[in-house]
Amino acid sequence: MRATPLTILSPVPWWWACWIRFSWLFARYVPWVTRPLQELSFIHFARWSVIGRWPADRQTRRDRAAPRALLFLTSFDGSDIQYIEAFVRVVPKQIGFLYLFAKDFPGPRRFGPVKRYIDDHTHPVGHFWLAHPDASTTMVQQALELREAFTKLEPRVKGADAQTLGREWQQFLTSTQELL
Amino acid sequence: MTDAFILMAPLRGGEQDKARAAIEALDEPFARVPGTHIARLQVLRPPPRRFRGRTRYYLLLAADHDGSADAWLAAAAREIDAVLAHCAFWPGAGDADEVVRWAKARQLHSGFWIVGAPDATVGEVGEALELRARLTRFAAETAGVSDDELHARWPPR
Repeated sequence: MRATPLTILSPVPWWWACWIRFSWLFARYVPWVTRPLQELSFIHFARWSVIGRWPADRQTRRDRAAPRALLFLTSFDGSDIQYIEAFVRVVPKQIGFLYLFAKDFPGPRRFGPVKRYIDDHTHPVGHFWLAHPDASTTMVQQALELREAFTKLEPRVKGADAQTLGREWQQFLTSTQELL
Repeated sequence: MTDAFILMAPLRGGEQDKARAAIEALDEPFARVPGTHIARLQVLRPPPRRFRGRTRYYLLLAADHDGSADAWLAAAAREIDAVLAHCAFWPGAGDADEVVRWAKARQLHSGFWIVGAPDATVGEVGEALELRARLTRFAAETAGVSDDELHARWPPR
C-alpha cells in the first residue's frame, strides 16, 4: 500500500478553538490558504475538526478530563518524514495560524521540533482502508484527466478511416504523454 | 461528490482491548461498503487535562464516501458491528434508523479539508485507472505500427 494514514490530536484552549472555528468560515475561500495545500499533490485526504466536547453526544456524561482539541486526519503518499518536511517548507504560515496556541506546539518552521510534536500527538491507526491502494494521488488525477481527454477523442475517431485514426491517435498521444 | 463521516464514540468501560482486538480481526470490511474512498478505525484516548483525572477511551471511525451518509452508515455498521459493539449505547446494526441516529449524535464535523480528487466517485476513479493502464499498454504495443495496423487493433483493450 502506498498511502500512510496519520491521526493527530492537539489540545487547544477554548478561545483558540473558537478562533479556529471562526477562521474556517472564511479559510475555504482564501486562495492563500487553500492553493498551496491543494498543490501538495501527495495528499489523498486531509481533514481538520475541532472537538469541543468529549463525547459530542450531549445526552452522555461529559468526559471532563478530556481537553478541547484539534483533530487532524490525513492520508498521503510516501513517508511521514516527507509529509512533515513538505508542510514545514510549503505551508508554514498557514499551519502556524492553525496551531499557534495548540498546547506544546513548537512553531511550524523547524523540522525537528515539528516531527517530535507530531510523534508525541499521533494516535496509531488500527485499521486503514483505501479503495485504490496502488494508485498515488498523482496517478488518480492523471487518470481522470486522461479519461476526459479520451472521452473527447472517441467520437472523433468513431467510424474513421485508418489515416484519420492514425493522425488523431498521434495528436492524442502528444497532448497526453505526461498523463500516460 | 465525496463526503466525510467522522465518528468519535466512547467505548464501554474496560473494553478498549476488546475493541482493539476486534479491529485487528477485521479483514477488509470497507471493500464491501459501496462508495468508500478511504476509511480508518482506531481506539484513541485523549490526553488528560491537568488535575482532572483520567480520560475515557474512544473509537474513531473516519471515512470519505460517495452518496448519502445515511446509506453509507447503515452499510458500514453491518460490516463493523463487532467493533462498534464495544461502544457505549451501541444499538446494534440491525436497525438502520437507530444506527444513523446513534452515529450522528456522536459525529464530528470537519471544518477544513483537502481532497485529492473531490469530484470523482470511487467507481469513476477505478474506471479511469483501468483506462489509463489500457491506453498505456495500447500505446506501447502500437508504437511504430502503420495506420492500417492501428486501425485493425482499435479500440484499445
